[in-house]
Amino acid sequence: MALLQISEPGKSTDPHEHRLAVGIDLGTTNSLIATVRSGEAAILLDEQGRSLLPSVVRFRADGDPEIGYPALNAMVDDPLNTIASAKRMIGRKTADIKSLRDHMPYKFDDESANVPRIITADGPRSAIEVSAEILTALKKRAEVSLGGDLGGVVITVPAYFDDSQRQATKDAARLAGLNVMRLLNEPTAAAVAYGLDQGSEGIYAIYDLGGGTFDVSILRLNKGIFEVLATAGDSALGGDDMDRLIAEWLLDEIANDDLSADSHFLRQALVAARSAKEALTENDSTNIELSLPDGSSNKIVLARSKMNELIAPVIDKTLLPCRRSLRDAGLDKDDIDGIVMVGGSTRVLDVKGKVEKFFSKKLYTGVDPDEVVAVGAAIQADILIGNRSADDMLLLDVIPLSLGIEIMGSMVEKIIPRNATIPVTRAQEFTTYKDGQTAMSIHVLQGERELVSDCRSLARFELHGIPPMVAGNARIKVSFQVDADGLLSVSAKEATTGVETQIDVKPSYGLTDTEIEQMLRDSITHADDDINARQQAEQQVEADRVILALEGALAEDGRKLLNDDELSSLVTGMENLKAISETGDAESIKQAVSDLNQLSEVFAARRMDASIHSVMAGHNINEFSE
Amino acid sequence: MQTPFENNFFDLFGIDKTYTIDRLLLRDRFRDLQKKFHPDNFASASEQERRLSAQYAALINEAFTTLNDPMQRGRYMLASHGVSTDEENDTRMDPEFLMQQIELREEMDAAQSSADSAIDALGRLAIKVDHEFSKREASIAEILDNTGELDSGPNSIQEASLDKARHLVRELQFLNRMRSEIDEAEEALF
Repeated sequence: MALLQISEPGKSTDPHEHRLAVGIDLGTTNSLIATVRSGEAAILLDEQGRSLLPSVVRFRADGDPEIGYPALNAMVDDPLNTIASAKRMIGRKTADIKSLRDHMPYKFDDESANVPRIITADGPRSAIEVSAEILTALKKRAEVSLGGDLGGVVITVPAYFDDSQRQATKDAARLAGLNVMRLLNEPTAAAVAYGLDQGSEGIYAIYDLGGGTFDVSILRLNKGIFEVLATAGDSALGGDDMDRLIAEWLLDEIANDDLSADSHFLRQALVAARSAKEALTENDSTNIELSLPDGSSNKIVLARSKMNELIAPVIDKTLLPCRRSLRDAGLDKDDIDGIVMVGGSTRVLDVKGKVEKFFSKKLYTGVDPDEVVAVGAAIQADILIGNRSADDMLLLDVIPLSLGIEIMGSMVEKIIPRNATIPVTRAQEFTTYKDGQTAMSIHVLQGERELVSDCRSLARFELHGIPPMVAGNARIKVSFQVDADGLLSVSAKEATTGVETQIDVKPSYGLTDTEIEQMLRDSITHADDDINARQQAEQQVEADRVILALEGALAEDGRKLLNDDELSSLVTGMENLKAISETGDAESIKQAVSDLNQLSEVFAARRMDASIHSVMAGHNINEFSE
Repeated sequence: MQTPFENNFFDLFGIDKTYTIDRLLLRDRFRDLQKKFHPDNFASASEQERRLSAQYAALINEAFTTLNDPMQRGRYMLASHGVSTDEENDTRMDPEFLMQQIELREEMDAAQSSADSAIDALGRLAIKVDHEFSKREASIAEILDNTGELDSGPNSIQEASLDKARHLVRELQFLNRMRSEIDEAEEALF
């Protein structure tokens, strides 16, 4: 089962060529991009030598958005068109972000829309599009500094992101034209950045407090395997909330009721709050100056002790997930060997203090908490693209929230429990509750609570064509598959007749495929970029990939695992695909690839089984020699 | 997917088909298999290989989760003897066990409401539940690992033994639930 390296269209298929792969930390406040060069992970800098790209986009009437520092600088002057913290909105329904919206200066479009959109000078924009702009800017940075097209990327997401937030992040990458090899959980990425360098073994807690999200993961590190035992968190908790609490205090101090409705002033207060919070990591107190709309200015002194008091609710709220993750891992605080601190918000002194006190363990803060996640993602990207042997490292991650479906009485029946190692497949049988029932609607939910209304609705779909039977006689098998990105797909099958429904769970309130297609078409600016030619090239690459893989497999195991008939039928199928791939259009190549895949399925499965035997055989030899 | 390992988790890991297992060995084998089959090894492979690797990795995860957990392992082994634990339709339990459950539950309520010593009381209760759990694990092993009797003893004895094991496995499930309720009660104290 050799790992094959295949290049994208227009690139050579030389397997020894170093392919460009990057890791992206798409953060609430700042984003970073990193790559592995000559075995060393490095953050890629912008033209001014800066590593961070503020996750801020300013949409302008001329259609050319400002991204990063220029947008950050425009935040106070142009609050309505300058969008920050899009990560807090991505993959969320309009109603979900209601409380969040109350703290944001933006104007949102239609309340009932599936995807909330902010009204800007350049039209309504969703969080997915804002994120796509940030990813596009990072992609350009990488292409300039690495001097070539990117073969693939690993994008990090909070471990506690649910299915729709993950899907939305992947959609943003698709809009930015990136080939996502993996969505990687941020705490796991941080562990990779720490663990590989130091060859640590043991059990570690990764405490990751960013601008808008909090994760804690418990990992076991052993012989290059990073095994996540449990994860917990809050995907709407972070440094932003500290800023907001400080800003609210500032407003109280000024005691001017008119100001709380003034979006310019609110933005100014938030920016001042963040600066004050940063200053207080060094100093015991700081001076805050705010200019009021009437032209006067107001000076306020904030002592660190006062700030600690203000932000205590945020820090305390992180300790509950810490306890829960330990419990889910079946461990005590004593079992933990160390705490890795990640995310800009862990610079706040009281965060370090309280976490250290909670675990009574050493804190690891050696790697820059802003950079560590991007570095880990770059290392993973380097492996996935095939520049480095996968034997060096393996990440075994988990699903953060339970998945289930709605049953009678608006209750949720869990099918996959939280903290199950991914990829995971689980099936469960259900039956009809009415005589002669021929259809069944299936409602997929994510969350820990028992009531449907307390969980997140991911998708609804219907299974038709169930043969009419007495209530309770039909057997409907619903299978959940969660892939290594933590993304769910569901299929349902009626067992007596084989009626099947397969759906990729597109969140009920995400962008539809059609919307994404349209956006992609809109974004193709070069008139000569023919979408058909591109699709044909993509299919040819897949055909080459399949042919190469099969040739290799046949050379290795063809004689061992196949009889003469099977062998010759596969060779014929392969020649057929070769011929079609040279001349056919995208659709016919796709069909031929799928035909050959079907033809070779049994062979591929036999090779997998043989491989399991060889792993076990390897064991027996080792054990005798030890 | 059709693979000979789908219904044979013990063979998948190359370990003996016994209730008593070497969990460290199981973990080692699990890792070796995932090192080979995890989708990360196939990120640049063909669509078919990526799909198959995801299926196999999921099977390896499921097999590991099942064998690594004493309750699930018991249920799995009973199923291979043709005995279903059938929790949904058969809710009968041994009266003595039910009495004990009620007592444990009363103890938990008392522990939770004892103002200063709640955490200690819950801790003691957890140890008690763990002890009951281990006792049943040992009894299940005695039955399921006595292969001489299970494979070639008289039918009536086989049936009686398996039924006893079935009850014990279901009791493990009750104790598991109790244990996680204690953990939750502890968490609620903070």
